Amino acid sequence: MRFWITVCIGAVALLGGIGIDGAFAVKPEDNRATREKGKRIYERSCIFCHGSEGKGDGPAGWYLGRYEAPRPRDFTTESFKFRSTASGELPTDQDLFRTVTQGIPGYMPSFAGLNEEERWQVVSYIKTFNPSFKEEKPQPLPLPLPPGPPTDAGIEHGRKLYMKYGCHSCHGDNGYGDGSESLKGNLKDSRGLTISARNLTERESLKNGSTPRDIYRSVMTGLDGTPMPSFADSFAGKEKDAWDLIYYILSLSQDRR
Amino acid sequence: MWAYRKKITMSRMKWILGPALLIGAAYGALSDVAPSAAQQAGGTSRKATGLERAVAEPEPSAAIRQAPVTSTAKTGHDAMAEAVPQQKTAGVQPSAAPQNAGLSAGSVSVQGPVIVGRVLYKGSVPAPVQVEVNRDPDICGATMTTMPISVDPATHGLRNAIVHVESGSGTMPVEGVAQTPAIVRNKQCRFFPHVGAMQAGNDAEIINDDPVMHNTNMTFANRTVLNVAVVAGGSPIKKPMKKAGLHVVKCNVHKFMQAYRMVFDDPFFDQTTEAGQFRIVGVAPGMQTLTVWHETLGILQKEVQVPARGTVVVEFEYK
Ligand code: HEC
Ligand code: HEC
Repeated sequence: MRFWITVCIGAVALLGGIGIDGAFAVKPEDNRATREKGKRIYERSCIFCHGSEGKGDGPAGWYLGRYEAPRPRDFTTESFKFRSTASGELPTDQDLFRTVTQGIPGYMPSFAGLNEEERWQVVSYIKTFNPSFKEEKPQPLPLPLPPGPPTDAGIEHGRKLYMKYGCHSCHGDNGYGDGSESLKGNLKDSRGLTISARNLTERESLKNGSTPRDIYRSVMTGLDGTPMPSFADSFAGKEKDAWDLIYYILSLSQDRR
Repeated sequence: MWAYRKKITMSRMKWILGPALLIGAAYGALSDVAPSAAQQAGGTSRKATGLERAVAEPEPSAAIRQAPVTSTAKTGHDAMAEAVPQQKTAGVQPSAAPQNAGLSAGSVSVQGPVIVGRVLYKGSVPAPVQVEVNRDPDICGATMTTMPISVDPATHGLRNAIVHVESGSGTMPVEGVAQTPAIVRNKQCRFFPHVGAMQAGNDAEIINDDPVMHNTNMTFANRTVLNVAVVAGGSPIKKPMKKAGLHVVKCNVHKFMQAYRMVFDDPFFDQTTEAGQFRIVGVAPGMQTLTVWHETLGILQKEVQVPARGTVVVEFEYK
């Protein structure tokens, strides 16, 4: 238990700044009673999209169009997109808590209306759908603080990295999500459904949060189950380059406001 | 129920939550009495093992075909000489890193039984497939051909099939376990090798020789095992492969790039050479199930009586 408290404090410290500080204080122990309560919340709040068995086949999915990505997550087998962990890893509890709290703009409502304890309970419950959660111990990657305010030279350098690291092939030369692979419909998600690269000029549409650290996390971890790869290894030891790129991406939406 | 509904923050929802909630309410009411479609559809899952599990999803569609259990299995070194005229040497397979290659040079004395054999394909070999290159033709080439079925015309031996002893028990001499990482090399917008086999726990080493960025996206069923960007000039990336199964390797920037890595929990496997040969050592004596997988031809299985010592020869043929 003490271990988990330490992990949570660490995670909150890492991911702070999105209004969930202090969440660890109420995180209930992951036991049968917690999961039972989570199940009841799931059946009221999540089942119509994620389905009674967590397979992402709830009836509300009909409205999404059966052949359009993204489908509601299949918790039993699929990967998770919004993680603080390396590519291929499961998300941490904190990651799931953040997704449930923030929602996914355009696709899933925020459940900030549930109190924190209830959100932890439903997180405990959705983890029961995939036995891998019992076997694997996902560890968050380091998520540093930005080095300081963006500079023009840094942003200019970020633009060069954006081209050099191939972001444009999917997200387009100017970040509109209109790279040739995306426009031609060549990008597929893990269900084989066509998915487009995100329009990086619309900050509010970012699914995984839009603070500098949120974007840093998306780029380093990648979004598993989609073509968006992890760049953590490419930026290893190049902390400043990484932030130049992140600030360049942020500049794409600020210029237009 | 409604208490929770009211609490849902709908601020950023762009789509039709209203109807969804209505349906949801109806669904919630119904689900108390009737089993859901999901429950009905999902009822038939069974536990699959080894190769069978590995290729269950999502491609290629490989139905298990039972190879006729003929009397091709003979024991003794003479039989081996007869069935496998060409001795397999470590040099035959330049691209792949077969786990047993270290033993096939003949310098190491093997204590236990040895399984050797060939995988044959006598059917018509499809013409090479022309793949459209839609990106970076200066690096990838203007056209690209792939040969999913590669057969040695002289012997009908099928290359790049992977043979595995299913039950997998036995003792593996240390020399036989490849400790080297399994390479996934991006070169001229192709993966090298195209097919590879490795033991879980070993690293996959991803290398980019091209002056363009690739991403190496390895999936097992519908889970991402690894999706990393390998930028031009970047250092190789090493990651341990943790789970057994058939891993499909793709690059999303170049949609025509595809490869396979078969990962096993044990070292009792080998990949066929250009002449279709394989060799597996260290397997426990007794009745063992051998499975062979090929990218487009699917799966064959055979029961083999493995002797306590000596060599057993096994022949598979895709019809
Ligand atoms: C209106 C439909 C809807 C409802 C209601 C809903 N979800 Fe989702 N959820 C989705 C969709 C769609 C996705 C996939 C979005 C994507 O892949 O971009 C998703 C994805 C997720 C993910 C995966 C995030 C990741 O990292 O990949 C989690 C976790 C999740 N939902 C939890 C919940 C929980 C818990 C509830 C109930 C409290 C809930 N959802 C209710 C539609 C819904
Ligand atoms: C192979 C194609 C591909 C490449 C290369 C690629 N991306 Fe992406 N990216 C995607 C796709 C597809 C999505 C959207 C996934 C989704 O909607 O679930 C995405 C999403 C994103 C997001 C949004 C996450 C969110 O919160 O919605 C960011 C930020 C991003 N990419 C940045 C980058 C950067 C920076 C680079 C280069 C260093 C890059 N991408 C390279 C395909 C790619």
